[in-house]
Amino acid sequence: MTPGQRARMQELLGAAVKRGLFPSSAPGAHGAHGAHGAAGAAAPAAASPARATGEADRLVRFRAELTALAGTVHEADGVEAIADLVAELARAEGSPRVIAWSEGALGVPGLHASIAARGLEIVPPDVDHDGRSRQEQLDRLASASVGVTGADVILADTGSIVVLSGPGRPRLASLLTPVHVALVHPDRIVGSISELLATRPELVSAGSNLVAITGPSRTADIEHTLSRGVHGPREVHAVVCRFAAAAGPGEP
Amino acid sequence: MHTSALPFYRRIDDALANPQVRRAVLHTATRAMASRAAALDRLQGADALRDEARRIRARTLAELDRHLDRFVTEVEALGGHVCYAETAQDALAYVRGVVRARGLRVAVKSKSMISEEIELNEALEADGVEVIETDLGEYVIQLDRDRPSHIVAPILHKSKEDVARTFLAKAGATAEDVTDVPHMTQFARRVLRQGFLRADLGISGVNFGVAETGSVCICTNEGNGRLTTTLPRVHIAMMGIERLVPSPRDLGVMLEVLARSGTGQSLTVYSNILTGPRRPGEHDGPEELHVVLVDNGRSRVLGTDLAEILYCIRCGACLYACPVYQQLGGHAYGSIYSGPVGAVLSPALAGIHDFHDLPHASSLCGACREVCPVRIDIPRMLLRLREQGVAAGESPMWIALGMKVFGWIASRPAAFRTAGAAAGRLAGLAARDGWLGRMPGHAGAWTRTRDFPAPAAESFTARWKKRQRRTGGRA
Repeated sequence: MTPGQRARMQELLGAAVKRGLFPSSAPGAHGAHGAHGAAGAAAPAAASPARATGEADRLVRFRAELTALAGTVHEADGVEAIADLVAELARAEGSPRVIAWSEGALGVPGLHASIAARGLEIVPPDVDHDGRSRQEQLDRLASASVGVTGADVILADTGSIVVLSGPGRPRLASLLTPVHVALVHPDRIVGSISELLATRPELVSAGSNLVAITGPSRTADIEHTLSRGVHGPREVHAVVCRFAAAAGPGEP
Repeated sequence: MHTSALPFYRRIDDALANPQVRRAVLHTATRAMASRAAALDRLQGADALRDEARRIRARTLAELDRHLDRFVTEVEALGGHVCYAETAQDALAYVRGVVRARGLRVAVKSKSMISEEIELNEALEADGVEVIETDLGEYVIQLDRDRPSHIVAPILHKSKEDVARTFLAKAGATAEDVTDVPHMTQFARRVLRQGFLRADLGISGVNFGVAETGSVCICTNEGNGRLTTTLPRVHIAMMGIERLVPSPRDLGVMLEVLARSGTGQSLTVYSNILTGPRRPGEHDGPEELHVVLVDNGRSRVLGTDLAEILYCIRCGACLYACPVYQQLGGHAYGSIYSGPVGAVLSPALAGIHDFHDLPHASSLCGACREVCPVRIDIPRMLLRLREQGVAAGESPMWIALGMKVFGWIASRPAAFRTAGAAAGRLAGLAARDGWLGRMPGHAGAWTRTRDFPAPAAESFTARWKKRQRRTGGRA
């Protein structure tokens, strides 16, 4: 922003703010206005009825919430089980191409090889903006059937899967394909989005894109009738992998 | 911002005369209100969260200059560009400038009310840019050259047969493509997917900017918000200057109430937080990020007694709750911002002369205030705008004159008594069983659909006086 523009913005907004803001508090509510919302300084009560305390409880809650949104929750005891699931889903979609996070980001060494061993192709995730390669890259990526990602954290109250972009973590793996498989670790679970952003605000800046995915893509624009798989994935599968070493954000 | 050239009462008549739209709007509104209630019931501490959400908005606006300045610093530190657009023209000029400088030809858009407010699509198309709306409802609107009728559910007013017809006639669909809603959705997905893959520009709105991190948060259910901001080379985010919160923690609170109020979901499917353009080592994402901070009258509203409308987070709940909106739908308001929030925001931004009728399209029942996640007192501001309208000379002649006459009579007790007695006697002549079935002149509008109670033959004051005389002053 040019210094002139910035100064103009300051001038207009500064004058407006000095005029003071009406009204002082909400009609009938006990909220206080302005900087002295003393009660408001505390973090809001965790947004959940009968707040799940232990991790086991939270996982049960996560499973219930995601299932209610037509997602599916699986358990996998090893690499082969995951690869089997991916292969089955790819076959059902009719394309052997897969977009996947790197093994380091997934925390499951050997997964890429297992997937390839089942006749699937993990396509290169890069999308360039210049050059002739872009069209080829996009064609390959757009023909993939399954996207495999990890999950930096899952949210119990809403059945959400939170993923951060970064090296080894293409955004498109959770976005472009009709089917999304997310490897989730039971240790990395919190209650809600408000809890996550209050306790780990640094996650927001750890990559260019942090997204909370809450079930499959949907719309009710046409006659308020629900349809899934509009632009994002039509199916979301969360695979609970207790055996995996969960990689931290920013680790490729 | 204007969506119609027809006068207000004509738009209302058109809306009321369309039974299909009325049915659709009422049906959706009722369901949405039920979903909202259920979602908030499930949320522990919902009321406290709404209070907190309001505090956050109030706090932000009370120091908007400081927070916005921080936001600019952070976005630029990440390599993004920020423009402060004082007017709609400034915003258009900036976007067109970026398009020209980067040689952009195909734009995909995810939902942005601001872009409709400033009429961005028209400007870009005039420059030869192909603009593709990707929100399913907005895509249909674009094909039909129609206007959205609700800020969250744009084709609320269309049946699935309407959509099928549009796809067949204007999008190259086959009969099989429009068999049912899932087929139509898949058709739209295929067509719009091509747009995403071809586009070099992605234009989005912003649900919330986060000042401390320079992030923009975009909430969608379809996934078009993510594709728009991932595939094309350049991303332009259109953001009203008031759509800001200070910190990620504050964003979390807003996200808890936004979807629950608007659609009854706990969260929209994609709560997408973007912090700068693609980073080194990342595989996808835009090379360039531009945030256009659109003022367009907002700084004028800030610091006045209408400033509270800037708390709005565009959830759409007040539209669903409003008995007037439920009967009319969005088009009758003649503005891109309809319903209760639009009845305040449109005249606030555009000036009272432009939308002076909208604040009158309300019974002041307060349903909007009850459902608002940040507890905005819309009825208070509707009254204020009505006052402003009258002060600006926007009353119809017969009301202005009538109020003057009434004021003259009512401030003179003798005249008031006389007039009252005369009215009582006249009404006595016309009344049947204590009701007036027909009243003359403009008052006839009332009695067209219901009866008006006839005034008593004798006024209370007269009866009281008589009673006092009879009982000698004792109660």
